[in-house]
Amino acid sequence: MKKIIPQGLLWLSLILPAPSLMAADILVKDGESIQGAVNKASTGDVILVHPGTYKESVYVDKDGITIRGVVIDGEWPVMEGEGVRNDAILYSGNDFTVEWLTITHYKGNAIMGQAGNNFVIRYNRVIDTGVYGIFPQFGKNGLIEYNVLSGIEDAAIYVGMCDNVDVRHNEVFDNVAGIEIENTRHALVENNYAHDNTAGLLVFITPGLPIKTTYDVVLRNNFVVNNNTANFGAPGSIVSKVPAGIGIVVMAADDVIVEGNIISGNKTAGMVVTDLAFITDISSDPDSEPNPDRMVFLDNLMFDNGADPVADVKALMLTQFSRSGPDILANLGSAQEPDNCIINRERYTSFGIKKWSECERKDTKDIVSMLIPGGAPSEVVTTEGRTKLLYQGICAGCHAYNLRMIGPPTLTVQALYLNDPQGIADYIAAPHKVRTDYPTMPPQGHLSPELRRDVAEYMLSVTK
Amino acid sequence: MKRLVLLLSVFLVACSNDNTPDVSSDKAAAEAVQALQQSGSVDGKALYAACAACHGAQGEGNPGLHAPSLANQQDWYLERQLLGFRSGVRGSHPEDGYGAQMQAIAKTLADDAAVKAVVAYIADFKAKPAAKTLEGNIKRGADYYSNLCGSCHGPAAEGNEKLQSPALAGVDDWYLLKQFNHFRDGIRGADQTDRYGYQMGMMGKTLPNAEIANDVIAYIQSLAD
Repeated sequence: MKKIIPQGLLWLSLILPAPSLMAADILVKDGESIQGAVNKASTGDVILVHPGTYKESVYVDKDGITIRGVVIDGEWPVMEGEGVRNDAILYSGNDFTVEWLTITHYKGNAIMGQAGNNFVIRYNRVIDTGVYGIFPQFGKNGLIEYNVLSGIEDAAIYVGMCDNVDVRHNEVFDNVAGIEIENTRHALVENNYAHDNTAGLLVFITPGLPIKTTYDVVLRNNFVVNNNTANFGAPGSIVSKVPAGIGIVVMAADDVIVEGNIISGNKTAGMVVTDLAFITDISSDPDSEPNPDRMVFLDNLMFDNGADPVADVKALMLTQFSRSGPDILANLGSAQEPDNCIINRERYTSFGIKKWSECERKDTKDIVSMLIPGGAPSEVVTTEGRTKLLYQGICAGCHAYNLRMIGPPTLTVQALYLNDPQGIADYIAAPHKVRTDYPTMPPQGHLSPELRRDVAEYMLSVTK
Repeated sequence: MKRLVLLLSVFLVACSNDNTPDVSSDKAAAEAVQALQQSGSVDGKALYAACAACHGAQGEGNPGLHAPSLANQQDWYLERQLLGFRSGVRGSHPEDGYGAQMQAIAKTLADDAAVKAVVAYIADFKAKPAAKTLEGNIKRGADYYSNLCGSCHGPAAEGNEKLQSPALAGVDDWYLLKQFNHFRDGIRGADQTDRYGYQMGMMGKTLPNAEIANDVIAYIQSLAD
């Protein structure tokens, strides 16, 4: 990158942030490769992807890259997975932006973040892309807005193990889970339209992951409507156990505020608040507190929920002589405790909220965004830290410690590969299908042999 | 009468919670060893005659003698187990009395060809799920099974040869429970040279308690129906 820089520009560089000095536009046209452009790009560059069909998986492991689709006369650039590629975009660099792309027919994820901070994911259309649509994992400070996603067999937007994320103005429909905030702290989910999913908005803890908590989440001004699609998640996976017909699920998460949403036409219940037992009995993570604490339920518009509840909910409702599901269901156990609160409770049909207290907070005007002003600071990454980051950013997206998420639990991997980290390192470079009822693992051959070996050793050492 | 036999056999299993074989089982095992020593045959059918006294003419098993059905187990798995008994990685623990019986019998087979021959003979038996003898919370068992066991033993407990994980559905529930307890307690699979046994030994420690292990096995049994 040695360039002769005019004196004047040098002075300018003292005023402007360095990246913009060097920033360049890199054009990608139909028939060319986005990955090729990423390989050439450096911090601050914008990759402009013109209309066309791009059949590739793109890895972005540098900081400050923007991939921007160019839409001309309604013609979009389309990333086409053809049902054979796993991911459209994988990023691990910080300060990454991806926008204006149509992504379809991938098996795994449309856009997955692997420990990148300060991400922006917006104006994308994601159609029928396998397991997750937009999936930032283990990232700090991110914005996800104006995306439209459908046909995803797990979560359309899955914010996993992140901090400080705003999810707003998205439309999610025909998915198993619409928007999922999981093992994530400080999230604002606002102005989204979640309809015709199995469940619309989910805020919860999955036990057995490296990050053990979910708290400080605001669900505000969303339309959560007619989420009654039969669950088509992979049989046996944890998401396949979510009952159909639920607008909002709050499971084990703490300090969740629900305000200003329109929640209607969800046939099991408008909102379910529950501990971990709702989905699985395996809540044996000693570091994950299984109870939903301090839920704040402010004014929301709820009607026509519970027309045809699933059997378990029907059985609960029969105890109070109703055959319909409620607007609000606080499941048996800790969800019914008075640390949760509500205002104007008489407006809703409900189960289990008698002991909920009256909220002191009446609105959320004081909360504008969960983003970090100025962005998340850059972190110095040590070798040891990098290995851990790889595990948390990549492996833990599918492997929980002691339960089945997308891949087999980490402890079965530990049993299969005891004293054989090289076996894992070799397998993940070029995985092959071993289990009839699990998806084939996506190859991790883009990681060097040393990194694969390091992360394999780390995986064998995980204890919870 | 049939019911009485069933009751009696359940009673026998329930009473002999320890791993010390009783007199009738010891006698049958000794006779099997003797028969094999005298026969010297390499014909599967002839060899199996020694096994039939405990495991039944059609490999249907005999709970009264603590002999599991074989007809519901896969040939590659049976072969590996017979070889394991012969090498001593299985059936050597002092508390594994029935394993020790089986080890003595397996060692009297002439060679690996004899192992293959007898397994090939068993492979032709018609699988018939063993009778249910355990009660448990099947729903809870299913939950644990799908999260922890299914990734190796398969969604219908049908086994996975690629992972060398045997089929469990159809195998006697009382036998599965006994073996699970052995894995958990280090009576089976405690030796790292027994690679696959050691794997199960690690997994045997992952269910929280005996009640849940019972539920899981009740669920596995329900898959065979």
